[in-house]
Amino acid sequence: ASSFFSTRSSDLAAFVYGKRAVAGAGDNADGGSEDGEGRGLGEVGGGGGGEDGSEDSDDDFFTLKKAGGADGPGAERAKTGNLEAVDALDTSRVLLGPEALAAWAGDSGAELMSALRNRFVTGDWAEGQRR
Amino acid sequence: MLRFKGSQHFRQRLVCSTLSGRPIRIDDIRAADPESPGLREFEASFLRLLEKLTNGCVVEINETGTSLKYRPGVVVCGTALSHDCGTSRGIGYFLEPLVVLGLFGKKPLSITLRGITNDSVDPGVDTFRTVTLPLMRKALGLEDGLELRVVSRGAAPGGGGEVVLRVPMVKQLSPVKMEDEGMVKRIRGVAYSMKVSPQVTNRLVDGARGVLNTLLADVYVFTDATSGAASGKSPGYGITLVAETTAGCLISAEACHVAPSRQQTEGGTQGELVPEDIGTTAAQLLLEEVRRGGVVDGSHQGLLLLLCALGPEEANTLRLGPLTPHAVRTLRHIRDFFGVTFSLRTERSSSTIFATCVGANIRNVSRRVT
Repeated sequence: ASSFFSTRSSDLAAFVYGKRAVAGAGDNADGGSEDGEGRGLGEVGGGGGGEDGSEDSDDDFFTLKKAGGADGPGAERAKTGNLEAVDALDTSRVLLGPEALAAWAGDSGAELMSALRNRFVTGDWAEGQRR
Repeated sequence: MLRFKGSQHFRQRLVCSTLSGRPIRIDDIRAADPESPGLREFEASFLRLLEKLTNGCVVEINETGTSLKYRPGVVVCGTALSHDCGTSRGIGYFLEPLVVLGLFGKKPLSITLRGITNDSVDPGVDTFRTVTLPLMRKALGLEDGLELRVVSRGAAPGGGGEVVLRVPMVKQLSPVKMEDEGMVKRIRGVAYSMKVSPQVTNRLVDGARGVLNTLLADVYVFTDATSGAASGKSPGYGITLVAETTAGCLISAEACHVAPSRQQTEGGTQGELVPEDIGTTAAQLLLEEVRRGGVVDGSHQGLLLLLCALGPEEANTLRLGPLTPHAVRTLRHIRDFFGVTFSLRTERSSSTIFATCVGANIRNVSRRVT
């Protein structure tokens, strides 16, 4: 369900700062972070709800742009999850697809809720304060 | 001059450029789009708004609108301003940059914005009023002067809503330190409707309660069923939910009815939802945000990170859930414009991130010195 989020921990800084967000704003970062970057992006791009299958992680910068521009404005929305898409939709809102919320319905939803109980004052305070 | 590519983070680039005083050039704006390359209506509208607020800024756009040069001016702001936001994006699109720019004006900002108050892409005005502004007050220690008044609502596609935003000016920001998440103690919210049966708001609340009451009894959602002049030009309805924690953090989620004609989701599944389903969706989104953790929800990460970066040369600390793509792009822009790099420490047991930075100490240069 957290597909739109980059949860990578060990190489988070490398994932965020490793690659320039813009081409031409400066030279690339050190080569040491290349590996971590690739994995981080794979997680974000690959989990994007299956809508951006053609614009996956390892694509070259320019190939990616071409693939995205071929279809209409709906593609812009689909690309918000892709960090390297230069024309991604400019919004701060977290746009989760219906598939991301499917986990909250039915039995799996009940499980998730019981896992969340200690984040509420109705749950176990000692457990909740441990965070 | 900083160079960028594409239309992503258009507003933040212009805001950062204005605050840092560094001119920027953006190339290849939707250059790969064969039918309509270049700037969109809402982006042009935002540039016009920027010209209203600043003195001496220079905007150059090429023939096709795919390249833009921006040389920032001085932020002036002032009162009795007004701006028509159009109907291609919500008012939330314009409010986000305004609340940051307004702090650094020569005069306090008071502006009337007209357009779509709630839609499915931009943060709604209710989220702004109940979450974003309290968050800014808390993070920056502002007492008063920060206010958003909703005069009338307007749904997509017709719009017709009107809000009045007031932002005080500051000398400089105070350091941000928000590490304690706390536990969710109550859930509040607003269910609104325009030009439909007032009963719809109650159905929205029912849907949300059905999910949330299993975890918490203290759920109260205000209803605001508007009609006539206060309801804009199009029918619509939706709900905003806010979880308040014992540490005073606000975590929000919203969902609204999407007219089937607007191609939002492929397959059009969202168009056929009944009000109860929309309430349920909002509640599930809220639980998802709570599950992710952090002192703010995903949609406010970018704003809070930016406020940290603009802050004084002291340690600013935040605790965030997993970073959203928007927040990651924000972090990169902050580094490019202000040279501020966050140190990101992950806590595995709660899968939250502690982001720490030393601010760039951006001062309000246009403020009159007395």
